This record gives sequence, C-alpha cells and structure tokens, in this order.
Amino acid sequence: MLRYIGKRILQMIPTVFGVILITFVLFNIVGGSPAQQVLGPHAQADTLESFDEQRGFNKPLFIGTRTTTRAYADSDFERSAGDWQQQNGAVWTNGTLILAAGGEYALPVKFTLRTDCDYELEIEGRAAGFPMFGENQLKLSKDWKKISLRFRSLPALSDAKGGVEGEKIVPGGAPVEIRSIKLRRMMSNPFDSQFMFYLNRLAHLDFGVSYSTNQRVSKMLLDGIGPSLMLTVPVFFVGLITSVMLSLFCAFWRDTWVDRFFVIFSVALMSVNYLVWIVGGQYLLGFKLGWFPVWGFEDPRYLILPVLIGVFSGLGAELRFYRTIMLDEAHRDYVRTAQAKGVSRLGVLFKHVLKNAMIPIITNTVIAIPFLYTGSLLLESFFGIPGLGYLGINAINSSDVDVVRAIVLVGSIIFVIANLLTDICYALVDPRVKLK
Amino acid sequence: MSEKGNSLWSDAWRRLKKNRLAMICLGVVVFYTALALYGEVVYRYYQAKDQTAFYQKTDLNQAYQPPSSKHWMGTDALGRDVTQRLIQGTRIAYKVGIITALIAIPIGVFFGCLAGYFGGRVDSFVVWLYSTVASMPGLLFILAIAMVVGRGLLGIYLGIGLTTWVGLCRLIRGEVIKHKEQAYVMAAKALGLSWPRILFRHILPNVFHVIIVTFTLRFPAAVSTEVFMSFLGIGVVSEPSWGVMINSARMRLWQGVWWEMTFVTLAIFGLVLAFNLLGDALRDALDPRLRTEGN
Amino acid sequence: MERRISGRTCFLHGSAVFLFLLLTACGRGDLDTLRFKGEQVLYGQTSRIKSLDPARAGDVTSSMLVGRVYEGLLEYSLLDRPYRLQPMLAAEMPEISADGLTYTFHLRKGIYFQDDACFPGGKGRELTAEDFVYSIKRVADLKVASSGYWAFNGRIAGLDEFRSASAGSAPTDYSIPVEGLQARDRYTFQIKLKEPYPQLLWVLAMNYAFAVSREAVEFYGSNFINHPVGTGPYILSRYKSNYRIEFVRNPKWVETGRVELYPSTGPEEARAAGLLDDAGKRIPFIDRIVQYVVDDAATTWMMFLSGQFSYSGISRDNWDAVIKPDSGLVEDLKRQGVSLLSSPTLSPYYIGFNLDDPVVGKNKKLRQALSCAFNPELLVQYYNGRVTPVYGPLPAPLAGFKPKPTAYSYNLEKAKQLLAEAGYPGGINPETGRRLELNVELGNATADMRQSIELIADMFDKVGVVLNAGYNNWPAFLDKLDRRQAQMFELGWIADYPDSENFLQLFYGANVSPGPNHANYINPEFDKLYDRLRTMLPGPEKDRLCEQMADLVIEDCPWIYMYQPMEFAVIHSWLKNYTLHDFPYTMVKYRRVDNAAWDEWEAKHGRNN
Repeated sequence: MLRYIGKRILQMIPTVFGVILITFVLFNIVGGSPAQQVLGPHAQADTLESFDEQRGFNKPLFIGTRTTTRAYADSDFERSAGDWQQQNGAVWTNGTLILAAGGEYALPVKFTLRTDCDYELEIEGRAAGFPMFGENQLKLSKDWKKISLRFRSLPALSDAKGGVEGEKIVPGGAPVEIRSIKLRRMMSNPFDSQFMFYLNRLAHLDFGVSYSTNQRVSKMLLDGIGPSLMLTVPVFFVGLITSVMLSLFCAFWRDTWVDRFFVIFSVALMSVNYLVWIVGGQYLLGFKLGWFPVWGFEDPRYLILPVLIGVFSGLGAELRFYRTIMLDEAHRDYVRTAQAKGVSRLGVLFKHVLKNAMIPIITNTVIAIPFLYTGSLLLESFFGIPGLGYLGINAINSSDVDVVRAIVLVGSIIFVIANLLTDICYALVDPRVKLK
Repeated sequence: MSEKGNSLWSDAWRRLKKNRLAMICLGVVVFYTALALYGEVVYRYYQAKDQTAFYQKTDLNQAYQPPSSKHWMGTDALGRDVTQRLIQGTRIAYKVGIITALIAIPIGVFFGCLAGYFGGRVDSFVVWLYSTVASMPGLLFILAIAMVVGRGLLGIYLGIGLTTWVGLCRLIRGEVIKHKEQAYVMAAKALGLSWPRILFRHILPNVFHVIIVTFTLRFPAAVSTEVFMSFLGIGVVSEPSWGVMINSARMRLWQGVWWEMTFVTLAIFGLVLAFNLLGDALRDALDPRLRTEGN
Repeated sequence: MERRISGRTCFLHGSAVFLFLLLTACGRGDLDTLRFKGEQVLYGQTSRIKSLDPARAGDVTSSMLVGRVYEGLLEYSLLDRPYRLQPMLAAEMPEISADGLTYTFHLRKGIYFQDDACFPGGKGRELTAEDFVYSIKRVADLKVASSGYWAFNGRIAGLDEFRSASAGSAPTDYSIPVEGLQARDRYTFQIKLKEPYPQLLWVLAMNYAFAVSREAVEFYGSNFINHPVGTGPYILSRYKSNYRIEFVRNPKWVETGRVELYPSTGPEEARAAGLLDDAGKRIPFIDRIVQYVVDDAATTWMMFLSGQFSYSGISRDNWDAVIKPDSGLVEDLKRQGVSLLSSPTLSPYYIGFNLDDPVVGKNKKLRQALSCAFNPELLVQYYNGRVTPVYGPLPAPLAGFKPKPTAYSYNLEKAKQLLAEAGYPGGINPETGRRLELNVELGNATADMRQSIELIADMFDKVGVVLNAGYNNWPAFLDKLDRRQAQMFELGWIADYPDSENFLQLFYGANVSPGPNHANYINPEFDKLYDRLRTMLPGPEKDRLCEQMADLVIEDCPWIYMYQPMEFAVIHSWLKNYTLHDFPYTMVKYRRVDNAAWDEWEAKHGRNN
C-alpha cells in the first residue's frame, strides 16, 4: 500500500512541474513585465528598471547570458529614428541613421548604465574600417554588417580618433551609417533566469505582489477563499441533492413522458446562458421585487440569491448526468431480479439503484471539489462577494499577472492533490485498483 | 472496412431519422447555419467592395427603436438594426465554434492516437500533458490565455482551442487502445503497413464518430464561452458578437429597452439547445457507450 | 473602462469619469442595522483600491482614501472658483524668496499623528518639519517605486542625486542630506529649487507631498500600504481589500484639542445652494465612512435607487431615465428629494496620432483632414449632451482654451479636400487601390468605448477612410504607446493641478514615449516656448504664451480633440455640503449626513413599504 502511495506521489510531481511550467510560459513569456502599468505613465525608465529588478523581469527567460535593458530600447532605424532624432549631427533618412563625420555621439541611454556588469552593444551599419574598441577589434566595412562590442560602463577613453567605445560612437573622418543598434546587459550567471527566480519564489511560497492592489497575493488568496467557499459549497451541495433527487424521479418514471420532459427540461436549462440567470435574477428578484439584497456580503441573507442562481444554472447539466447514471443502473440485471422478487419500485430505486449509483456520484463529487476553490467568476463579481472568482475576474481585467497566476497555480495543485487522495482512497477500499 | 464504416453511418442516420426531436433540432441547426452563411456572404461582399457594411452604419436619430416592420428586432444604441447584427453574431459564433474545434480536435486526435497506439513512454507523455492541462481551473485558464494573447478573436480561439482538447484526447486514446487489439489492425501490421497508415487510414475512420459527437457537443460550449468572454470585454469587440450585444443591451434593460437583450439571448438559447439535443441524439445513434464518458 | 486607471495621470473614457470621480456614494437600506443611534454614517461606493500609501496612490480612488487619513501642507479650498489653495498643515501660505527659488513653510504646532502601534507607547507624536523632508525623499526613493516622482523631478536641489543614490539593492540611506529639503527648525520646512517652479504649490497639495511618519513606514514595511498612519480627520478601522473599507473619526483630534472649522466665506452661488449653512461649525461631521467596492454601473444605480446609496454618478444608459431635457430631474426622483449636481471637469479626451508612424506621422495634411472629418456633435449626442466639444489641447477654463471651432474643426468639404492633398483622394490609398485603413488602439473595451469608436469610425467612413479599432487591456495598451507601436490611440488626461502647463507638457519634445507625450510630437519652436512657460509665473504674459502654444499644436494636429466631459451626480436629500470638485481628495471632512432626512426618506420611499 505504501509503495502504491509513494508511486502516486511520484507521479504527481511531473504534473505539478507541468503546471508550473505552463504558468511560467503563459505569464512570463507571453505576458511580459507589467512595470509600466503599475508605475503609471509618468514613470521614468530607471524606476521601471528598478521594478523589473525587484521582480526578476530583467533576467533572461530560462537560461542565457544576455538580457535587455530599459536604458536603451532597440533601435530599428528602418521604422523610426527613435531617441536619436534629438541628437545634433545625427540625420535619419531612408531607414538609416547617418552620424556625421567628426562628431561624438553618446548612446542616448535613459539612465546611467550599471558599473557592476558588462554590456554588449550590437551595431548593424557600414563605414569602411570603422573600428569597435573591444577584445576582438571588430570593424565595420563598406557593406552592411553586424558587429558587437562588449564593455563595462566606465568613463570612455575619449582620445580615440574614431570608433565605438563603451556607450560612445565617434565617427572620426567619415560618416557612419547605421541600420540598427541594440544594447544588452550581460549576465554573470547564465542560470540566473526568470524561471529560476520564479521557482525560487514558489519554493518560499511567495506568490508575489498584486500590481493593481499592491497587496501580497498570498494574503489575497487567503482572504478570498472563505467567501468563495461560502458561495460554492452551498451551490454544490444544494445542486447535488436536487439533481440526484430529480434524477431518481426520472428513473422512477423512466420511459414515460415525465422522464422525457425532464430530459428536454435539463437540456433547456443547460442552454440558458449564464448571463441571463445573473442579469435577470439580480434585476428581477433583487431589484424589482426586492426579495433579496442586490449586492453585498454582509450576512447569510446576501448569499441566498447567488446560491439560487448558481444552483439553477448548473442544474441542467447535473440532472442530465445523474439521470444517465441512474438509468444505467436501473437497467441492470440485479434491478430486474429485485423487481422480480417483488420489491416495490420505490424500494428498488432507493435500496438498489441509488446505492449502486453512489460510486459514480461520489467520484464525480470528489472530482468537482477542487473546483469549488476558484469560486464563481461571474456570480461573485455581480453580487460583490469578495472571493477568488471576483479576484480572478478583476485580475484578468487589470492584467494582474501574479494574481491570475497564483489562482491558476493553486487551483491546479489542489486539483492534483485531490486526485491523489481520491486514488489513495479507492486503493484502500478496493485493492484491485492498484493492479491497473 | 469501408463497408463497415458506411453501415455504421447509415445505421446511425436511420436511428436518428426516427427521433423526431433530433430532426427538428437538425432543422434548427441547418437554419442557423444558413444564417451564418448569409452573414458571411454579406460580410465578404462588403469586404470585397471595400465599403463599410450597413450593419455597422450608425444613425443616432434611430437609436433605441422598438421592433417594427422596418426593424424586426428594433435598433440598438447607435441606431443599427438588431436583426442584421444578430445574424452577424451567428456568423461569429459559428466561426468561434468551428475554429476552436479545428484547433482542439487535431490536437486531441493526434495525441490520443499516438498515446493509444504506441503506449509506453509516448503514452506517459500524453497522459502527463493532458492531466496537466486538465488540472488547470478551466474558465480561468481560458481567460488567462486570452488575457496574455490580447483582446480579440485570436485570444478566444487560442484560449478555448488549447484547453478543450483533453476530453477528446482521452476518448480517442481509449478507443485506439481498444481497436489496436482488433483483427484488422493486427492484419495490417502483419502486412507491414507503416504506423501512420494504420493509425490514420485504418483506425481513425473507425473512431471518427467520437469526433463527430464531441464536435456537436463542444460547439455550443464554445459558443457559450465566447459569449461569456465577449461579455466581459475579453473576447470579440469590434464586431457584433452576441456577448458584446448582451453587454451593451444589459445597461438599458431596466429602462425598458428589452428587445436587443431578449432576441440575442433567445438566439443563443436556440442555438445551444438545438446543438445539445442533436448532440445527445447523435451520441445515442452512433455509440450509446459514449454516454457517460462523453461529458 | 479601466477602472483602476482613472488616475490623475490618466486616461479615462466617457462615462468612466463620472463613476470614478464620484466617489462617496453613501447608502444603507439593507445595511441600516449598521447605523447606530445618532451616529452619522456615510455609506459609499468606490472603485478598486490600489494603495493607501501617499507615495504610491496615483489614481483617483486611492487618492481619495489617502486624503482621509493623511494631510499635506496645503489643500484646495472647498468653495472658491477658480481653484485656490489654502494652508492645511502649514500655518499660513509660504514665504517665497524674491528669486522664486526658496519656499519657507511654517508648520502648525500641536498637530499629532494618530495613535498607532508604530509609535513608542502607541501614542502618536507631534508632526514636525522632518516628516516632510522624509516624505518627499521617500517619493524620490527608487525602491519605493512612487508614481509621483515626476512632480519633483529635476526641480528640487539635490533630490535627483538622492534618487540615484537609492538605486541598487542596499537599503536606502535617508540620512543623506538633500540640499533642497530642509527642516530649519522643528516647525520650519524649507524647499530650495534649482529653477523656478510655479506649479510647486499645486504639487504640494497632491498626496505625494503628504506627511507620513518614518516610524510607520519602518514598522509596517511592505504592509505600510494597508496601515495608513496620518494626522487627518479619519483613521482606517476596517479594510477588506476588494470589498469594503471603513474609516472612523480620528480620536486624536479631540484628545489634542485640534479644531478645524467649516469655511464661512464663499461665493454667492454656494450660499444659495446651502453650502454655507454649516459655516463656522466644527468638522468633520461624519462619524464613520463605510465604502464598498462596486464595479458595475448598473449595480451602483440599483443601489442608489433603493436608497442604499445616497449618491451616484449617472451613466450614459441611465441618463434618459433620470433627466428630462427641459426640466432636469424626472418627477419621481424630484419627489424623493434627490438633487442633481453638475460641473465641467478638467479632463479632456483626445485621439492621438503617433507622429513616428510612417502613415499618419509624416503626413500633416492627413491628420488635418481627419480632424476635419471628426464631428464632435455626434459624440455630444451620443453622450446625451454630457460632454462639451473642445477645439484645442486645453480644457475650459484654463488659459489657451479655444471656445470656438478652429481651422481644423469639423468641416466635411475641407476634410475631403485636405485628404486629396494628403495623397488619398476620396480616401483611396493609391498604393493598394483600396480605402486607406488606419488603426486606433484603445485601452479598454467597455460598451461606451466600443460604441463611441464605432461612431468615429462612421465619421471617417464619410470621407472614405476606414478606422479599425484594436482593443487592448490596459497594460498592453500602455506598452504599445511606449514602444510607439500605436498608429492612433484614444486617451484622456486628468489634470494633476489646474494649470495649462500640465496639459502643454503633453506636447513637449523631452516627454515623448515612454513619457506622457504619447503622440511623440516634437516641434522645436513649441519646445522653446515650453521652456519659457515652465518657469513662468501666472499672468497675462503666460496666458498669451499658452494661447500661442495651443495654436502651434492645433496647426500640427497631433491630436483630434474629442470632448471635455461634464461631471454629473445625483444625491439623496440627506447628504449635505456636497460639491463637485476636480480635486476633491481631502473634502470628505466637510460632508454631513442628516439623519432626520434619512429616516424620513426611509419611511416614505424605503424598501420596506
């Protein structure tokens, strides 16, 4: 038994890793840094960089030696002159930046470069024999060419006759034509990446700080889980009991118009859009008739309407599901035997059908339990229940990446753990499971 | 084998024809499809003529007109005909339903087939992949994908498409495992046919009904999700999607501007109901065993 | 509508403004069990709370909440128009040296911080000049990541150096002296500037210059945002983020005998409106303020109607049901004693062209043509007359405001002609042979945003140009602006202070993206004028300069000027002393709740009848 449990726990690890990987790819790679959103439109590049530094966004993604810096956005002169257009002597025409001869051009960095790490400057340009003063002494030629220079930001040695030195371009005797310039910061440790940063934070159970509310995400999750459960647990159990009852009813009246009515009824319920339930319920029952509070989360009364709506919107699908199970059971041999033995229809239904249907019902219940945690996105936001669903919707609307990521991640992990527990329980009850 | 396939389909068709409700639903589905096609033709026509389509033309003096013989379903906040926009909404719903299926089905089928056929490590990998995706909280995950991809149809397609292949993958994997042991596959192997040929030419046609049923049941779910996302402002925005229409109409509802809300929700209800009932009937007709597994 | 962004430095859209600027909706109804006998309670609606830290409150909502607990040297007067500053924690207005570079503030004595665990013995200590030195240094600290550093950037002697020194991972050393921020003695605070900064006093009335105590910052660390410790009229009592926030009267005021009075002078209109009825009475009136975070306009409105909120903005969709064009409020609401307030806001909206864009950026005629194609009247109609057209970059009543249409205001014929001159006769792009397609990037996808853009697309359609809308979420939108990838974009700007300079800086060459000049407008002539404007004191010369700069901008058309919204609000009879103000952040102390009127309303119109 212990071996089985051990094996299942081992199997769980890749899934958890997969979840972590997916969330990372989704939010760090596709999403990117939220610095500007947090700091507002007035924010200076150095503030943004400092923000990125604190949250690890200024590192390579998985592994790498170079990373971008906000000090200098990549110049693509085919599109625009960018920050160079205010520099005297720099002319931008036809997708090329031409630096006039004899001048000295400092890279228009937005803040002083750090002196504790190396930078790499990559220039695509042409100018015969134009040198870059670095270890490799690369030179531009009369054809377009990309060369790069590694340097540490120190006061430049300005007696050069021409060439690129640190952040400075000195065209010397002939003009230099440039198509693009990139500046990269070099990492001393290639494994010092966003992914490692992320893993490290997770290892400390640190989910970060919400961008839109500046709260610790872990605190927000803890605050939200209670209200969510207060909504979803009643919805779940009321829904479960109602639908099981109705499905028994269907099984009892199977092959009659009652059952057929319920089949169509359940599909019809399923087909009513969720939005209709909510908008209609809040407007009619809450506002027009005044039976329930329109909004809020002050005492249990406030939960009645959302729970009712939750139950109704889910009833169709559940009823259909349990009806199928009940009917499957009702068609089994033992039911016929029992009936032949003279057990009443109702007795068969409760004693045999329901009892045997309990296994799929419980399985289904257990699988659904982890999903209770995320609450209900729309119900919560419409009725002002400060749970995780509300949190999630708001976080998505405001691109609050850390919050969305944490909810998704924790939800997934709860799901994985619930699965594990279910499997272990089954194994305890039924030793054959282990063989599978 | 092809004969076997044919008889399966014609059997199913015969069974389906007997189900009056299913035939009505089929009719409804055909009707919606025709609307969507008409919508597409109108859309294309204006695209080709390089003109702004009439359902996008605004006239504030015509705003909020109740249903009349001129505007069957009234007009919206900018004086546009709700009927025409509803038809365009059908077009978008179909687009979403079909394209998400085109993303999800190939992924599900591909992985399901490989896992079922090869077993071993391939199977372990696929099971890992789908159990990882399946453990993500559904709707939130879809919204998160749409959030990072950006607003618009692409976000919806990817969000729904990339998350809903799991169920199909599981089903196909199970079916392929069953079929793998059957005589015709053994024979094909003995003949030395290559595995892609066996898998995709011989096994796949035999599990095709699973795909059809899944598609029919997934379609309304995808449409509902799209409505939901557009309603939240994460989905379609510049075109008259149903969710967008509900969102716009909701604010005015309590002032008695009921028509946009009512007709749109009825349209959604009709489409989803017809597809759901048809899907059930198809499933019963094609393969009753799928009943409890399918959802 | 991106609710959280309704910042002072922000971009809003349409009726979003109304919702956001109107904060203190109050309510009860179902909540009435929470009102104790004789107590004055204000139940309010608010939007998402970002921060209760003055250095990091960049949006309207947070600023309002910060303004309950914290105080600054100066504040806006409640009733005076045009806006006027008055001393708050300063004993009087500052002494300004003749060169305009040194500002000396004498602080009021006997101002205490609230009692809090961060102070020795839990007893709040007296406020001193050092607190202001610390608070402004804190805004400059890179690690605090304040959204307000722009207000001091490059102006205060030695502060920029302090900022550079705060970079890196070591804790910031606040003992580094800053030449421009000095506590001359316990109650004298002096600011030295590098160059004249005529807007400094406005800036000092913003929450970035509010006094925080070093003890609290260090005691609470990263949790400081949830534990405001100030000198203000209220203290935070309960806070459930995303749902509810509650303030109670600061007992320290009574304990230390601090007396603040309701203003006793004001313009005649204010007296007529009953805003001087409480003249000379002790403030604050209200004992407790409870605010709920309600996002949805429809929900807020339902709660207002059922008496749970006694205050609400009016969204576009509710307009017809609330206001009759000729007679104001509808009868039903009038009977309930609801009154209507309105006031123009200093937050114009515009569609910007990215001048770095190869199509619209390099083609002035095209921009002018599109400006001429834009018909503000349709938007006025769409917003039921709640917005007024603007014809230049400055809103009324600031200097440089254009009350009349200009050469590039709506004129369809001219638009067509300019379009032809721009190289797109009839809107046809000669390169493709099809209509010219332009893209406008938007920061949210609310119904109002969508519909107004569809209206504008239809206006452009009249000259044969296609306008495609790209809807983004807010960060993605900002990112596009920063990277100069948006061809066109829609934005609003909420004034940080009532000075034309705050708007003209949006066209200053040094402020191009990622600065606030998102149009990337660069005009050396304009920049020269702006350099003069920056340090110029108010007066007719400055007004002329603003006028001249506005003309330059109008000629170059980096923006299409859309409108300036009116702010509307409805309030129930029991809420007193409510006025609309562009900078209402510290005004809640003036509000009063009339319990008798509330009970009466409840008896007549309440839900239980």
